[in-house]
Amino acid sequence: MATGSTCTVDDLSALVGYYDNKRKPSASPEIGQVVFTPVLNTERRPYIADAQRSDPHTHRSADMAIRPMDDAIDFRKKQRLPIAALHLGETEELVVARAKQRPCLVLAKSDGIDANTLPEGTQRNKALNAFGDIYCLAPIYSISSANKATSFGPVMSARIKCMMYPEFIYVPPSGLILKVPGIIRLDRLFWSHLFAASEPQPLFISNEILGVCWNQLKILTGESASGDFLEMRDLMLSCLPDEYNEALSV
Amino acid sequence: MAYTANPQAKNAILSILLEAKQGGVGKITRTALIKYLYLLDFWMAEAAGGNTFTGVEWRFHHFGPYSNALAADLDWLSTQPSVEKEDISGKDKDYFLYSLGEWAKAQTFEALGLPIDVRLNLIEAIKRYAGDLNGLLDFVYFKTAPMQGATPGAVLSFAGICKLNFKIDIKTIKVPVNDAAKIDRIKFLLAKIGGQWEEGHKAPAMTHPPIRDALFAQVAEDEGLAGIDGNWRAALTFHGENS
Repeated sequence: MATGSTCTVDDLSALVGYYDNKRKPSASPEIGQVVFTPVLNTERRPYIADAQRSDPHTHRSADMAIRPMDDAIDFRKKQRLPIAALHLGETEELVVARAKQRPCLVLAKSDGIDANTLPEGTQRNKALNAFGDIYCLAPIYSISSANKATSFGPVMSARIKCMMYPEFIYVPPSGLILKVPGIIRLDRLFWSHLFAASEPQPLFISNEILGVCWNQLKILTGESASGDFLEMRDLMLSCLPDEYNEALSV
Repeated sequence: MAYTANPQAKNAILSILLEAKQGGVGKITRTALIKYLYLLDFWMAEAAGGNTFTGVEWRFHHFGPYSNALAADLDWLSTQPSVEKEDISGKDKDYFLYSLGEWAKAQTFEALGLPIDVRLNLIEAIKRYAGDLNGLLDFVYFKTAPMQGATPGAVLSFAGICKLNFKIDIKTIKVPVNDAAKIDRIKFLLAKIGGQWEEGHKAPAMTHPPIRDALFAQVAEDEGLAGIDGNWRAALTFHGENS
């Protein structure tokens, strides 16, 4: 660590406090908290479960063929007998997606809207389950380890540690909750009610890293990040050895 | 001309059956045997720059990798004394079990000339997936490179497959910082960015209270909601009233 003029750090990540060990979980997940929840795989061409009644005289059973989405057929009006159990409208499709329970960082939350504040009748009934508490989540993906090679190999991870890419933020292992280093993916943001298969964890990301996330989100929306962030990013990138620097290696 | 099996395929089949016998696994199903042959080719391709051991063509058939040539070789071998084939007719399904014939001249994986990594991987797989066909299929379908992105019916490609290199593909690259001024500046800026975030996010997530207009007042009065705890997030002020 830093000790006067001879100071040196073995790795840039040692300079950053990634976690806040003073915060404690409350009744509902909070901004900055890590939760485990199912994250859908983002497929370039999603799969459709093409459902047809297995018997034209009954609503109770259906046959499903799983196939890639077809732009010419799907989400258009078609001749399909309704299947009561699926509540599938004429222009609706069943999309099949793989999912995995992953750690996610809560970046924003909405408290929802109490349906009782709406006029009794259709408006209230339609709103009953429409506006519950909901959370904006950034999933955390593992980097390559001896157990598994992932999309985030050592060169990508070193670049991300230096904040080269605005859509990624490096986080080291926390202990028992995040067992291996990971990447917070701002390019996979999604909203979830955190109802099913979700487990809030007693783990909070530090304000410094939340500030980094915020600045990187600004860049992704086309807004300028703060001058402090841009200066820090330049300093960090200057630490990256030339052979791993994308701009210099091409 | 009488059919004879591809010598590499024949040796591989006999070696796998020998390992199953010596490892205490015993008889193995046709599906498992074909998948072990695929794994042998896969791991060999990893070790040998894309060259498989048997040299046969593998296709994505039904749900996974399949080789017509190897299936034909296995059928032929099972008519020879070197391989025993047992037909099991069960209540739910019929299947075949294969084992090494008593007088078969099978070679060990080492004698076949397989690299040590390939040998160890195969021995481990034969033990691990004994009696766990689902586990074997899961591994073959989803965790081997030729199956990634393959489409049904297509020939599986082993070209370009390379083994994971710990030093290059796994080992963490450290980013050392030797400049004291730089370290101090980064720390200072990080603390400032954290402070700015905290300052800007002190309020609860919902900083804008819902609009309490005349409609809301009417509903609230009708429903007697005014006294319900937690229903009010802001001071109760009604907009748009004439009073």
